[in-house]
Amino acid sequence: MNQRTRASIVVIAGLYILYLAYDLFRNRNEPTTMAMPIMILFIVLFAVAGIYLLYYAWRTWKLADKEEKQQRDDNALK
Amino acid sequence: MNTKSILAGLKKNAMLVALVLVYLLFLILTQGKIFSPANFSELINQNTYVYILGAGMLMCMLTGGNIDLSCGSFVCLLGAFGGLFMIVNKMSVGASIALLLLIGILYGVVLGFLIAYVNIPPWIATLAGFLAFRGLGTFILSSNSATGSLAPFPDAFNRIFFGRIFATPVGVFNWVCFITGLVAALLVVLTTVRSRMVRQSKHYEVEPVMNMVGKLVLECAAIMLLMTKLAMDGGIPTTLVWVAAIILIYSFITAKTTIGRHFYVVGGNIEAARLSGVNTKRIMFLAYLNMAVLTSIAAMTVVARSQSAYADVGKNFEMDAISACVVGGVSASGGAGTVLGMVIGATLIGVINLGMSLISLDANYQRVIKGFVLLAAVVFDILSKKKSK
Repeated sequence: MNQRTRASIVVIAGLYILYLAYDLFRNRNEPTTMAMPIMILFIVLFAVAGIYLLYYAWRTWKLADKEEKQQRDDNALK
Repeated sequence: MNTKSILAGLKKNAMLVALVLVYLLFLILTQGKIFSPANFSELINQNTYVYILGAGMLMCMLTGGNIDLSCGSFVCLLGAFGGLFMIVNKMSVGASIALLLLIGILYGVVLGFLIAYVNIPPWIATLAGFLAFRGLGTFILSSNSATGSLAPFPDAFNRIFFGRIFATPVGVFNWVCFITGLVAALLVVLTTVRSRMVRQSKHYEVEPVMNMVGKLVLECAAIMLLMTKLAMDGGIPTTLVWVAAIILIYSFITAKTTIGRHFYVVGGNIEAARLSGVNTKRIMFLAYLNMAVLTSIAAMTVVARSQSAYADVGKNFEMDAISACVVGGVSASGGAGTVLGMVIGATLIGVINLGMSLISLDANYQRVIKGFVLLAAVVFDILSKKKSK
């Protein structure tokens, strides 16, 4: 699996985790057995995890671009 | 067999091990309820759409992490059309099925053309469908029904997509189902042994005999367990036939055909694929055409199961299919993008969903657990990649 494909999949996972955080927040006033502090903890945890995954994917993509550029320069020199 | 090779084997089959452990956990938590014949059938029926959409989503993701956001909404629209054809206009079941497949093909052609030849990013092209189709489906349903849903679908339609083959009453052992399981297990043994013999004759590297025997014992045990449970619950569900057919077809395509390999090549390096003579635009076109057709089939199984078409059908289907591919994508045999991986991912998510509903877990806890499963799969993949570097 190349780096860009992996990065795309990480973006998808990150967005879904952010969506889960949003879903928890949106349903916070619904009747639930989950205590509010626990809910807030999970919302924050998922939000942070989602944002980190998006950052990781962006970093991986940039690295793939850099490596590709380097490879093109090396090929041009040959 | 030393500790190192055992650990390597466990790592290679991480999601399969996770599936077994999660199942055992729910076996304890549900006090054995999840092991009942009815829940085996329910696991398959509840997740049929995930397996079918997952196969299509896998082909899209293989082309470079591309996805289809519109499949859930398209299921809603097709359900509405199905109701319009069969319930409102009283068309024959055969003609209705043909028309629904045709609509799927038309959508796939348009979508594939826009993505492959007009170069619209897939997430934008399918986002348009995600937004438009549910609205259109809801409009069709509310225009033809005071309740906003259309039901009941004809029995013939329900039998094709949610019936049982050679059905017997629940509690009466279905020997057809059991014998089918024996035949399937035998076929697995024969094809595995034959494949090994062919590889040996060509002097390729083969795994140790004991590994092969161990795997075969586990695979046959799993097949016989499933078929025995289904035999105790009235026979083979038609949903299993659809799922098995699609899984076998796509396993064959991805592993044994040139066009299947082209999907991997395009996803690996699209420029190199193009320079090697692969028609990358055709592969992208086929990925989305294929997805649309599979969505049509999934829609028919979903509508037959619920025996009605309603506005909320298909919600979050695209995320379930993507999750199955992402979770399963870190499993066996090299890790990235296999049909077996997707099946394991879909089954794992299905077992978790079924288990959580059997223990009546709060909806918020269910969301949290789904999130952790996906997060664990992605983190495992990231850490494995770092370690291999």
